[in-house]
Amino acid sequence: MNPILITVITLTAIGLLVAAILFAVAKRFKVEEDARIDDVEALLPGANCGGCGCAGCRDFATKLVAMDSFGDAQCPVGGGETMSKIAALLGKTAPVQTPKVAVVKCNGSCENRPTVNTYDGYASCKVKSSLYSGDTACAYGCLGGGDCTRACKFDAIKMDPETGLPVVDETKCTGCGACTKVCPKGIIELRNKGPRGLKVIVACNNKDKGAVARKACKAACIGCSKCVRICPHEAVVVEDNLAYIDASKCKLCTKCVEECPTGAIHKLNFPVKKAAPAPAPASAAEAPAAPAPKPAPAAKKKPEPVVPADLPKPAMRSAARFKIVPKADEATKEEVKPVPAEKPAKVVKPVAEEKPVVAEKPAPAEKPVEKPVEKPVAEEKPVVVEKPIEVAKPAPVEAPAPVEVPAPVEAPAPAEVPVEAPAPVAEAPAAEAPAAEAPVAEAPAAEVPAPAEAPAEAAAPAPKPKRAPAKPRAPRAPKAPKAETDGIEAPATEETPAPKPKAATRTRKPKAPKPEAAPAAEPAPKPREPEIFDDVIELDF
Amino acid sequence: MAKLLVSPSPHFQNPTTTQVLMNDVLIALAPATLVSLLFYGWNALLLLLVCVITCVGCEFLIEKYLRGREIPCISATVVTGVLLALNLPPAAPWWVAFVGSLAAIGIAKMCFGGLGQNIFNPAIFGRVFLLVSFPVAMTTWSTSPGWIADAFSGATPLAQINEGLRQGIPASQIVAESGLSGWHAFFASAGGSVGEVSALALIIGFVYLLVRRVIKPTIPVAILGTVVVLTSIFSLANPERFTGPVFNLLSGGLLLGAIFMATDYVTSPMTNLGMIIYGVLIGLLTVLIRYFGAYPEGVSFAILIANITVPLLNKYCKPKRFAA
Amino acid sequence: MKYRTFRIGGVHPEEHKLAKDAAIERFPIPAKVAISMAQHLGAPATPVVEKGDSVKVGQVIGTPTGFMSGFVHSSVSGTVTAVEPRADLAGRMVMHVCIDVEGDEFAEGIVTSDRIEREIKGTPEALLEKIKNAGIVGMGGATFPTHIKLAPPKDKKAEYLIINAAECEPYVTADDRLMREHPHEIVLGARIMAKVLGVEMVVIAVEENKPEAFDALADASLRYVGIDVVKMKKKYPQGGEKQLIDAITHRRVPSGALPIETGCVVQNVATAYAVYQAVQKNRPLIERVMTVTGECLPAQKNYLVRIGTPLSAILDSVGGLPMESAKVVSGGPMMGRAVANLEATTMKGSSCLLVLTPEQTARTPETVCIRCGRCTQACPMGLEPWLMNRLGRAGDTDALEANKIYDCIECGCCQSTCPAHIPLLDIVRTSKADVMKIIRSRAKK
Repeated sequence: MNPILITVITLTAIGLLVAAILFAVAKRFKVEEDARIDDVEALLPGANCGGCGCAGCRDFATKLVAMDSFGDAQCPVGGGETMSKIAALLGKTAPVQTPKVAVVKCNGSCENRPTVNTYDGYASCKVKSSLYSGDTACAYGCLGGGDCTRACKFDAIKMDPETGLPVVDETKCTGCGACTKVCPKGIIELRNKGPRGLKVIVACNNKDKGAVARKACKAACIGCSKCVRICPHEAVVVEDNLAYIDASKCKLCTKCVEECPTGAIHKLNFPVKKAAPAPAPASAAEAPAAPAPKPAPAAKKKPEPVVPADLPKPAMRSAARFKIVPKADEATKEEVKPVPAEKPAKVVKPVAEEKPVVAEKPAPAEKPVEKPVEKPVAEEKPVVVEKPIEVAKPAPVEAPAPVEVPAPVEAPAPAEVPVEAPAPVAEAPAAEAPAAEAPVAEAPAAEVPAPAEAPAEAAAPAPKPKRAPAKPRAPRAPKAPKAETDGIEAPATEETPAPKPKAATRTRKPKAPKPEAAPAAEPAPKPREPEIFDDVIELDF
Repeated sequence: MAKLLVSPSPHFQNPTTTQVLMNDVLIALAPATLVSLLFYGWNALLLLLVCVITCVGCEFLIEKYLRGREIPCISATVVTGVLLALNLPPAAPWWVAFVGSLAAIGIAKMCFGGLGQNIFNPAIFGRVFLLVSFPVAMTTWSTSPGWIADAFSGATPLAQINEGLRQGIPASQIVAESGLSGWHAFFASAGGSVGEVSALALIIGFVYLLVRRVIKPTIPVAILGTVVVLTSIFSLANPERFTGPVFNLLSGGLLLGAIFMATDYVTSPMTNLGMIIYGVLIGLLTVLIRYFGAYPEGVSFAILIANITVPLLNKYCKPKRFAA
Repeated sequence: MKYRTFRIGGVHPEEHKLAKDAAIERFPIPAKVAISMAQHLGAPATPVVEKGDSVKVGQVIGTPTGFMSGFVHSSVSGTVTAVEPRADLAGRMVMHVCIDVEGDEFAEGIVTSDRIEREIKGTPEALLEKIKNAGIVGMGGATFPTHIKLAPPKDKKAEYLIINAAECEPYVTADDRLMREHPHEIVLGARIMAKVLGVEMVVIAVEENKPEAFDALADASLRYVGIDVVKMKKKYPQGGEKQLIDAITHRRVPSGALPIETGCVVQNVATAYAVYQAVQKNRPLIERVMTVTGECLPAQKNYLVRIGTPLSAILDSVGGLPMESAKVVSGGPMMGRAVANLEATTMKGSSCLLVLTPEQTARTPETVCIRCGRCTQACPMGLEPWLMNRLGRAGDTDALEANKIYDCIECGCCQSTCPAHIPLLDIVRTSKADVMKIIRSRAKK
């Protein structure tokens, strides 16, 4: 026969035979598996990082399918989104998941912490820590070997060659916990990501007595407890000569950061304080300009400009929350308080309703109006970052603000008084900053939950309404109100018309027209003293 | 205040580094290289230079631009270059050396991960690559005049054997005519590749390596011993067909391969038992290929095939454990 | 004559026995001492003195905490200034008793004369009790409590007592000098231990590079039956317990088991000397011979130091650190520990203070493993360090366990022969700790 034909037939026959064998084997040795495992695995990120506690994504998928309820099962990389998708697929409920990131609690950089001997062994933290206490005088700090960088599967932690410390890239960190497990000194900790990534941590792990720790590292925690005393929320405890901030209680007021004598407490991801706006006298333009950028977004965040004329308090609330009240402010606030007393009646009501948005806007407006200088400025600032900005920018947002300012300005003053009564309006937001103000203090408490929900939307009117009572803010506002009371009435009146429209619309747009009024207010913002968190006022959680 | 050095024990390192070991191998190769240059003159020198420069250049470029590091041990690459040059026929054109070096370093060494990671001996791989790719160039044995010898042209003794046997001439006769009989063959004999000239020079190198503790004698002894035993048996059984032990020891690249190429650290087993099995395997394969194979020369293929078994030998021939 | 040696692995480092001709000198008692409570394997001792107490030489200042622990005695007379944690040579905080020295008054009952007492009185139990109360631990460096080693479980019978006089580490000559100058005491100490154990065969193993010591011991042991002094081949780690047992009796200690499984008990020669002092002179372990050496030091010494002497004082006596940066090793260069804190004090296991220059000891960066096999051939336990390096870096604990990483005695042979300067022992040590942790947690379940 034709050799080609023979070849073709032979090869075809072999092919068919082998195919049959393969088919039979595949059938015979098939592993029965729940088909859903493949689906669940497809939903998982596939990083195989072990953050869930299982041996890879497939293992986790298998376990999830087998579980009755998810319990604590979480995928740190995929987050709540992934878990809810899987839950939907499997018909179960997914647990609430808070995103976490790793934080490095050591500030023993090459500069802060000199070496006392030279390590010459294999460059691994594990080897180094099993050999001796380390090449610096601090036995608790980072060893610099880089085991954490090698453990990370997401390229999220790198050693900084200048400081010799690991740096976490929060955009890449998934909170899987691999680095925390591998660090022999335990300086890496998983913490909730926090609103906008803001966190305040004690960047130290040293449990030696203060003098010993300080000798070893310039930025060590010496256990002096100053932070404990200054914290208005009892979020810091000192144990074993080491301070620790409880993230669930910390309101990010950052008072401890300033208070710490060695600089051991760090605030993470806080916006850098802008150059202090020119002192009040400086051109109004500057003042608004400085905070402008931040406030601008803030303004965006708070969409509802609907602020009844007398709703200045809310604005102040948020501002107060983040402002480091200068002593002067305190003073002014004090003074102001009495003022509000007069107005309680009227203040209360409006405050209640409008707080949310209006408060903010009006406040700044007023302030600038009355006294471009000191107090009013100061108060305004804290009150509502936006306000000043708004004032400054005739543009969209601010316009209404000035309008409102007058109203709120007054409100706060009187508001305080009544506020206390109504209590705590807990306009928590306010509470933070003006810890000084008692009422304010209450507010913060209440606010705590709020911020949590809507960190970004400081603007969210919703929270504000809660705070409506915002009386606490009043204390801060006092400055403003004072101003107004002193002589701001006048401006307020000017403004008032403006705010009203704002309140009505609750949109910035209406404010736009206000800007005219704002210009008047502008000078006020300028006088504001530089605030650390001018631009952070939006934080409303 | 003095800063103490702190590290885990032990507190000193071996002063004999990888570089020192490879330098010793180069020194051991020096006598053979020198004799071959004397015999084959300029062309041999050209081949040597082309091989070494191409090997080093190839490794440098790949390491630097693909892996981002310096050459880990330059002497190891030079050793590969020299060995490859010694494996070429004396009349080989320069481009054969060039391509062979690229294959040896680029494919056999770099593709597997660089120094310490290759499975095949790069020099042997290069030679086999050339044998298969350029059979004519690799089996043309004419030479230009050397500095102390006359030009030589003709087949290598092994090729003569192959040819002769096919024609029906008895082996012993071919051997007698080949120029590889008699004591002088031990010292220097033309025919064969560049490095196969002087058995004595190679053995001097071997002794040097032993004295310097660079290699252990296990592998060469195993290879040569196996060859001697097998060839003795076969040639006693049928002297017409099979060549004797002396001829086999001195011909082809057996000595060169046994002493320098089979003992390459990276591609040889690490335990004594593994080394013995490896050596016996190479000897057996060499003899089989020489007696029954199509190629006249068997050492290169034998070493290549044995290289493949090394990971298995490392896995199963564990050292003797102290505690059961 | 064919000298005995162990049959697997081993390396031949250079000897550097620079101090072998320096006779033992008493190191002057310092003004302050700090005696560590953690001078032995097992739980640290519990201090029984307080600040302000006055103590005499040989007085108990620490009692055992639990079974695997030992007594600690004051090595000086004076007043206790503090009982507090202090940094040891690795910088770790350990409880110390700090004493300001006043005079040199010995506690009651301690015989301070040098007369050799040949008669061994007392039952084995009484002798064992004396050894325990004297706080004697293995002086070769392991500091295993001697009274525990000398009391094997009922079902294990000891056949040989091997006195480890190999001193295989380079540079260290403390045992060498001790053997040359006090051979009779050592032989008597060996006899005491043999009596406690109930063995009839005592073998004293001396490396061939100590011919004078060998002769001295051979002479001293002539008058007794059952004591054999043998010469061992000079190889490292000849002094390793398991290697010595293999060399002398050709028996191999099984994996994970104690040497008593082979019927052998190994004790260091300095331990034998201390046992003699404890039993015949009622003198607890308060001092030891320590070699101070190094090519860069102007003088090589073998000091008889009191326990608790600051290392800085010892270094100062030979001129202090000769250069800005050096490595000070407590022990030999193969297994010794680098000192990170010179204010640490001498302990019962400190046999040597070695000063190395950066040229001698600084590590050059590692290069690629070329699979030369030297580490495998050098390993005295028959392991494969190159493989454990790869598995250790990959974290494959299952494969490491299958390759018996727990058998590693951390002798350092592998890393000292690696031509690529790969930190083999560093990685094997940490991997071994990981694997042991896993094995222990498995056993608990």
